[in-house]
Amino acid sequence: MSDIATAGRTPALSGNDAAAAGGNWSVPDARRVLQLCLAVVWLLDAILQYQSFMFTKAFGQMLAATAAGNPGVIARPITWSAGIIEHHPVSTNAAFAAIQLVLALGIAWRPTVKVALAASVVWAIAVWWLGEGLGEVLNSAASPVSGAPGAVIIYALLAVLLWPADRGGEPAPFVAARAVGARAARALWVVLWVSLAYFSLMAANRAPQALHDMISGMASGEPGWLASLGNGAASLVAHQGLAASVVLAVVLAFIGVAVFLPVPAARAGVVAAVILAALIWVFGEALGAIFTGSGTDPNSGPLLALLALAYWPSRAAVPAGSVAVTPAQHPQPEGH
Amino acid sequence: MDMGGPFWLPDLLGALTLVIAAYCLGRLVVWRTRGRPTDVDVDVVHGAMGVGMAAMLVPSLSPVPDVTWAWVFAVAAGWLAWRIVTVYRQAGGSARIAQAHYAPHLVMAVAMIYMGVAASGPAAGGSAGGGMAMGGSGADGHFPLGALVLALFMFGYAVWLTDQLTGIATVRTWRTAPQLALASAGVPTAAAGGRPEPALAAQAAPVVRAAVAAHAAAAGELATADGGAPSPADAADRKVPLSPRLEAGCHIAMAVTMGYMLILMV
Repeated sequence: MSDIATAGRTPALSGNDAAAAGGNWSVPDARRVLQLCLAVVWLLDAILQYQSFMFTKAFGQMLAATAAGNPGVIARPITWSAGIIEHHPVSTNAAFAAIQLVLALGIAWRPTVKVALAASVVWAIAVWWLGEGLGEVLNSAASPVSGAPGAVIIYALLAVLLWPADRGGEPAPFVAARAVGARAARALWVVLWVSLAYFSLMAANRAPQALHDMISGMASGEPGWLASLGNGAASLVAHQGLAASVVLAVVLAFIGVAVFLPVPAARAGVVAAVILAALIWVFGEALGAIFTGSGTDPNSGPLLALLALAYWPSRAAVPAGSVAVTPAQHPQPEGH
Repeated sequence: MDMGGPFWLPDLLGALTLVIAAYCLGRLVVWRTRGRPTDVDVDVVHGAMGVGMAAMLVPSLSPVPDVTWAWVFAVAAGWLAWRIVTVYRQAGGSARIAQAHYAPHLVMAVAMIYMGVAASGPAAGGSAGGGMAMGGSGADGHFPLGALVLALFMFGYAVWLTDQLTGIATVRTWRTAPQLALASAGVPTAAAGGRPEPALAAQAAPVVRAAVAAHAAAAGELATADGGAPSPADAADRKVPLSPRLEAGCHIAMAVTMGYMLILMV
């Protein structure tokens, strides 16, 4: 039984009796709520994998295309696995979808949360490599607007940061710090957002029409209202690639360093991250291309927002090393 | 129906929803014949939903056009909405619980209406046999954003319910230690002097509290209908809910399947 589910019960409800009586349940704390949100995203991902497009050879061909531009040592396994998927699209895709479904329900079901989170890290890394070509971070084509560094690696990051354990020592200033400690959590945050700032300044992304073409390209095949939104946003940044990239990089860099700033600024950084993630999701990723019937996942927007929420500074610090926090002990344990 | 993908997937899901429908109807039979408490409204609606979903997934099974299902679930949604209103009007702390209990099933009924209407639209390729065409880019007249929102609700509901599974007492516990089961649901017990234990009441899974309230209502309705007092053994049995964890598992499976059908319609 995970530690998240042991708070708030009377001593009379323990062991097998407590489990049978439904005693191993407590009101979800902030971390558990974020875990459940992660499970919802995994479930959406799994069901998108059951779409008819994914059972065709085209899915394997789409995966094979992610090998382009990557070093040989990265590209060859992608081509190899894509070939297998292309030749056996039904069986392989059914297995992929089933795995993701099990991961989602495993995270949601308390007795299996640790196993499911650990498995999700392994699965996410495999998909990041073999399904997303490492998010194009090695071929100079990565852009935060189009989903860099790859949505699936953020699943793995979230699984690590939301791991249901508490690190001993100093109090955790935000949820993401509870499992790995504040220093490691901040380091991961900085690496992610500053690398996104760097990607936005790469030559391919600061070309005059780069952002325009990226956004307008996503509008193709989308419903009219979403295509209109995308085209409108694209027209705003037409021939403004350099300026837009610089502004975006500045915002991303601010978000990256915000976790080191005083609480009000840190909160501003988290809010900025959520807003930016929403803008990226709507305009840059067209809601993960879900409406085209070929979207394999909701893309990075929702995951970046979820990640940002895990860094919301606590009003009342969570004591590190505590097994669980009950509402009675901490009415607003994470400031939620 | 043009589901795309492997042929076995809609067949498999259709079989699953039919099994769930049969199970729900079986629960009603046991409730009626043996007096075991259950959520009557929810079992009736889910029984119909199981059949309706199977008919949409495998049109050859459907004796009626898809739009008929939309009408059926319009009635079901109206019934559930009425139940929410009546419970809301009642005094007591269980009003919000029961409201929360029926609300997800109301949304599921609305999703069934959506699917029935969308699938029977002219652009969806509805056949004379009631075939349901799923898939497409959303340019065929229905409202794909609505389907996505409903699908996300289904996924959230499935995850929320799965999270609470460990908070639901087993039938065995209800039989052997009913006080423990009631306490875990935050219900007042004799051990606590007839008062609810605040810590437990606050910690009880919402689905458990809602189920206990609905079960109590069902037991009361049946006792009123039966008239005479049951034997002590029957009375004890009538306090044991019907497989609450299995019931929750069926709801999870229904929500996930419905989410799948909705995603195919975005």
